[in-house]
Amino acid sequence: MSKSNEFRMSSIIEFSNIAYLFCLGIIIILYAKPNLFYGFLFIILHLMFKIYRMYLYIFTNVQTHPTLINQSQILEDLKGLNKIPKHLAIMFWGDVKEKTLIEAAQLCCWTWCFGIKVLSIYEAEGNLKQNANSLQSHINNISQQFFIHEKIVPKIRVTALDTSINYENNDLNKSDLDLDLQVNLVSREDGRKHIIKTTKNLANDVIQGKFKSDDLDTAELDRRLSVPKLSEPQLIIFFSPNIDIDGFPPWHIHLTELFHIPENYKFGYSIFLQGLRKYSKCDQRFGR
Amino acid sequence: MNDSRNNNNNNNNMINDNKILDHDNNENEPEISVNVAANFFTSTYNFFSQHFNTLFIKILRQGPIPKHIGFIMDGNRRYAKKNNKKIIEGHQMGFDTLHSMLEVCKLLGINTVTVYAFSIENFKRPPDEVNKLMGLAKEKLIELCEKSKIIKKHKIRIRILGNMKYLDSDLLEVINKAVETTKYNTGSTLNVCFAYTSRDEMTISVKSIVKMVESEQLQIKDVNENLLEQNLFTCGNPPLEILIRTSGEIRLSDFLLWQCNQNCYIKFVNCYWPEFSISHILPIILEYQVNYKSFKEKRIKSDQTMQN
Repeated sequence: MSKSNEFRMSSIIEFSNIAYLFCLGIIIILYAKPNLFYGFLFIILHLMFKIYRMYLYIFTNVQTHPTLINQSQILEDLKGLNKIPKHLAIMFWGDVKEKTLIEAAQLCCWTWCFGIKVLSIYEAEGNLKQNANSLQSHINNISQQFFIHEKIVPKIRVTALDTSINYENNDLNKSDLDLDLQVNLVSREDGRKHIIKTTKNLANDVIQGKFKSDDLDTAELDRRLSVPKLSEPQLIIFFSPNIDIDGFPPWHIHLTELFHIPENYKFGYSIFLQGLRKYSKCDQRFGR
Repeated sequence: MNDSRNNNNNNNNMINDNKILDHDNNENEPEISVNVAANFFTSTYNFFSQHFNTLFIKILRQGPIPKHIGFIMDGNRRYAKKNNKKIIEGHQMGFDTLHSMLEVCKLLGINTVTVYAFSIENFKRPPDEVNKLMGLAKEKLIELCEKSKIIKKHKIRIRILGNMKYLDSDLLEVINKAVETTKYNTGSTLNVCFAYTSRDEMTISVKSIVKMVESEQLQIKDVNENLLEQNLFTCGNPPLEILIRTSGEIRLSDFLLWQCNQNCYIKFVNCYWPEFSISHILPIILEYQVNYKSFKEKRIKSDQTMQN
């Protein structure tokens, strides 16, 4: 046996000794402190779960080619649906950028094709509300390309919801009547804060003697909270992997269907269509 | 005044959060085991599944655990129909599921459990079924307080949330008794929502605030979200972190609308409530833990905005 070979052998033995001692030490530690053992398993479990999610993510989010949606295709899809929500709400996906605004404009066109009258787009921080004008111009551009075969391009109007307007002296404008699709932009301000505002107004009315506090019931509060244009949506579609209501007006979702697809991070027509299909199958019993 | 109290609460929360991570103080930990009745020789499958579940719970306890979880117990009747049983039997089995879920939650370390037992809307059901349900509720409440081992062992406090004016005096008596006997239990809380809808709850809260303003205990400028929250039935409970609805329906049906409005995981499970088991809830907790980091960041952010 040559010298170098001997040296290698001894180093291997040494290494195996060290490894053996190391393992023994770990076993002793784990035996003395079982929580470390569970902690170790905890990390492995989380790792496995994350890998599993990545696997799902790759499967659901690899799209072949984004197909262009046209009106005739939507009309085809419409045939399969029994019922259509009157008021649809959408949770805004991601940040407010040029790209997402264009997507939102496309979404408005699809919504009109499905015969939905009111569309609410919820963006918590209120950035979308500030961009209402640019969204409107995007819609104007896109709807002209989208509705090539229509004789008259449908009127779609975007308004940032303003809950500070009093419900009594806000009659619907005449221009609202011939509107084809009303798009409301909703933010966190219209949620819990709106309820607080209404409470303050109520208290004011009670102090001034306009209203008796004993008369307050759910119907009355409902009437006061439902400013024109803020009604209860029948369906909310989330383009996010899990449902996070994130401040959507709490009063207005008591019977709303909440639709999402787990592990989906993207905005897309197929999800929108699946949401509408799910809604058309839902059967509400109203407690019975 | 309110702000400072809230601040205090936040600090407490943060201290608790830190505590979650150090588990070296083993003394206070409850003994963890899920129904240790199974024998290796008589039912091998049960034996292994129970030990697996126990291990799973122990592993999950290493991470952050939600403090408050809500269940919409839906699908008892449909389950009964599917299995050719009487409707009341379905409800009975639903109650058994609740009992075992309580145990699991307790072992996981979830302190507050809120369940939706009966909605105000449910009074629209055929009177026969409503009467039977009331009878069942009475029976089960008595059973819970007097015989239930889980309630005694884990010192669970029962609270009934809901609008009591819809209930008859008989049931009210039982409810009062149940609440009174478990009042001093400090282990954890079981909120049973009975004759409850969230809109009704919010209306009651708003009404009490308006009355406080009317009797000049409060000024209008002091009305804020915290105040409204303190007047809800769930006041004093930690914020709701997970809400689970069974039976595959995808709506909230007027349950804890205010509470689940921010920083809450909503999960729709595709099985009827009597079928709901430990193997459904553990993956949900795991998912919560994996997403906990972003969840916590959001919570801190929203707490800041709430104070401003």
